[in-house]
Amino acid sequence: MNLTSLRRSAGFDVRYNGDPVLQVQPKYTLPTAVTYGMIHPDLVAPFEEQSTRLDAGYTLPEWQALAPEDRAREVALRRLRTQISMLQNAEQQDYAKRRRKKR
Amino acid sequence: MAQKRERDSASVQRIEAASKRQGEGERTLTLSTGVVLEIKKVPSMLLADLAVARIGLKPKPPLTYVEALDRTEENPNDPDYKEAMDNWTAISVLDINNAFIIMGTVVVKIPKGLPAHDSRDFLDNMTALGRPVANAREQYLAWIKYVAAPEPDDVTAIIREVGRLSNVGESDVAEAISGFRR
Repeated sequence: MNLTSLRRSAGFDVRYNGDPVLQVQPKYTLPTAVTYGMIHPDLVAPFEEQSTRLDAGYTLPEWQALAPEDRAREVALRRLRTQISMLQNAEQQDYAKRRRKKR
Repeated sequence: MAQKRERDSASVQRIEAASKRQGEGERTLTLSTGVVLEIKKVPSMLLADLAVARIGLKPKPPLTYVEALDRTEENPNDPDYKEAMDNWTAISVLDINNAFIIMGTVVVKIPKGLPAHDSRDFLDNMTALGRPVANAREQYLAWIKYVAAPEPDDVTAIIREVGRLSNVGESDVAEAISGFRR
């Protein structure tokens, strides 16, 4: 067995047209009036932290027992997923527009 | 200039060293003055209570009549409102910084030559500067801010280290995101 294949890798290298996906501004984003309360500008907003925890399936004690780096990795992963789905939505809207024009 | 660069580089090294520590064992942070702090988790209820108290004081944007829409709307671009919001944010951040210092740090080591937080010299300085400290915790807070952690990087490192134990640090998230690209 190749043990290196069991090592966890965080290098997903997800790209959109060759650019790192989190650096791409998704099209068709609407500014909304929704704001989240924050504790401190250097800390993730509690709503985002707790949403991440619930999405990842951690109980509160499990979440608090994680190392700070692991909690941060879960938040980063959720941001990555959200960004991918926003980019995919934009692609779907473009596709729908193109189809409407063809008709 | 060279001295400033050295100081900046030392600060960066301290922050990097702190951020590389793994696990949940005792965490310590060495400040630019050589003072060593033990870093502790801050009770989450304290942060929640501070946040609730701040929400009650949050300025409200003024209402303006928008003729084109024939209705009244909030105007978040009002200059007075923006200034009030800036002040409110600054005071809110200060409250949290103070909470992190008081509840999230314990002095482990004070280098020789640095006055202690209850020394006569330090207390006289505070009084002379119009910042009298009434009790031991106020003394401690003032001592950390003005004596033990005089550089902005020192305070940044304290907030970062206490914050990442109690919540999730944005800098840790940024580091994780950069790891995703490797």
